[in-house]
Amino acid sequence: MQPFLANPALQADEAAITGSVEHMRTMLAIRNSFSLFRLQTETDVMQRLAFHNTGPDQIPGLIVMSLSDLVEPDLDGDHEFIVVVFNANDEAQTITVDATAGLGLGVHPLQAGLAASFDDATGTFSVPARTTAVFVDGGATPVENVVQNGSFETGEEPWRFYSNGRGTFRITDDATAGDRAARIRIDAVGSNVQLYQRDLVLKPNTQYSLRFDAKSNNGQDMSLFVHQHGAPYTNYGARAARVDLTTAYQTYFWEFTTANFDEMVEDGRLRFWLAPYAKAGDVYIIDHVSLQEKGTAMAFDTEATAAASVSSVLVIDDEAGLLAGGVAVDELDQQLFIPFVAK
Amino acid sequence: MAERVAAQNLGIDLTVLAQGVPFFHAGIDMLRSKSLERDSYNSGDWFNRLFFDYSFNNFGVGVPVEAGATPR
Repeated sequence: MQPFLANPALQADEAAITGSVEHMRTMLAIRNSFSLFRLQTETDVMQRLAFHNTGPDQIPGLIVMSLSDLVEPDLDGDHEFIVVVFNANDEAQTITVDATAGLGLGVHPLQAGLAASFDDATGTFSVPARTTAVFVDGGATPVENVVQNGSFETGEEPWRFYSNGRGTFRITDDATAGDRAARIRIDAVGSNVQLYQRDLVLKPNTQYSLRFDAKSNNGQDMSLFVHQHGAPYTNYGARAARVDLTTAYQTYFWEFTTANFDEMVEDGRLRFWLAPYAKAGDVYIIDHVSLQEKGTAMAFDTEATAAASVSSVLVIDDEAGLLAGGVAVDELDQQLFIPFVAK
Repeated sequence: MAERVAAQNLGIDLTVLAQGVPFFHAGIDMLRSKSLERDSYNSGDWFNRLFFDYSFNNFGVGVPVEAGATPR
């Protein structure tokens, strides 16, 4: 046992661990994206759940499970059929399920990039080794990103940079998603320095997931807010004291529940707040910003998946209490209310 | 190692996508290991430690306390 435990080849490195965490998040999001994964009654399970690779001729190590919404009542408005293929073999497997031919299934959007496929004419699934592949009809509708141009592919619009010191907002090709990213350079310190996007549409009392990739040239940090764009700059539920940036790209996830408004608003502002941390000469790079309602499939495209794999997952230190400079939470609230005239 | 991670992830998937309320042991998503300590109830933090910064999974921190506790 001792040589086994001491074998460095069996030691999981940080990339393996964060990759595994990412995997579990993805699978939980998939489970969460269809009510068919959470059937409520025995009758539902008996009617809708079926296993296909069964009997004496079954392919070993392969489970093919289907969930049907073709029976009444309609439990999922967008989808009629889901097939999950668990392939525990160390080789890719192919299986034909006649009943699925013509259903137009495709790999779940959250698994985009997976080397799994479905032949609609014959109902044949191909799944790589040691892989779970989820196939859905019509494809899960990706939820709209509340933020426009989140990966800066179409340039600076509609992002805005504001500083009462001096600085510039440019597009750089140092990107994690696509070819472009936002680059902020600070030339002179200001008390109000931010990259933001206004006119965000937000639902009241709703959980949102924010993710973005970011880094800074000296590892300096930033804060985060989602609040009312104009006066009185109501806190819409998101206030992160500190995002611990490093000199290498990392992916940040944060979840919050909207607050302090009762009806849908169209004047939200996502603010990357650089002021308390940014010094002259500092450079911030931000890419692949996505703000989405939680509990629905995240609109990760293939590019996004690739980006996530090169960076690690970090949880933002919410309500940390103290900023690096000793700023207390109530002062953070005051920072929220620093007004400025939008361009 | 990638093969082992894939195998563990597949195991997680079976539970995640099954009907009913899934139950996960703390740290399964971060490849948590108790260094082969089979019954770690009395093993203290040395074997039960969880690294929430994902830096380490606690594999190979020592040979399990009870001799032969974990035939493999």
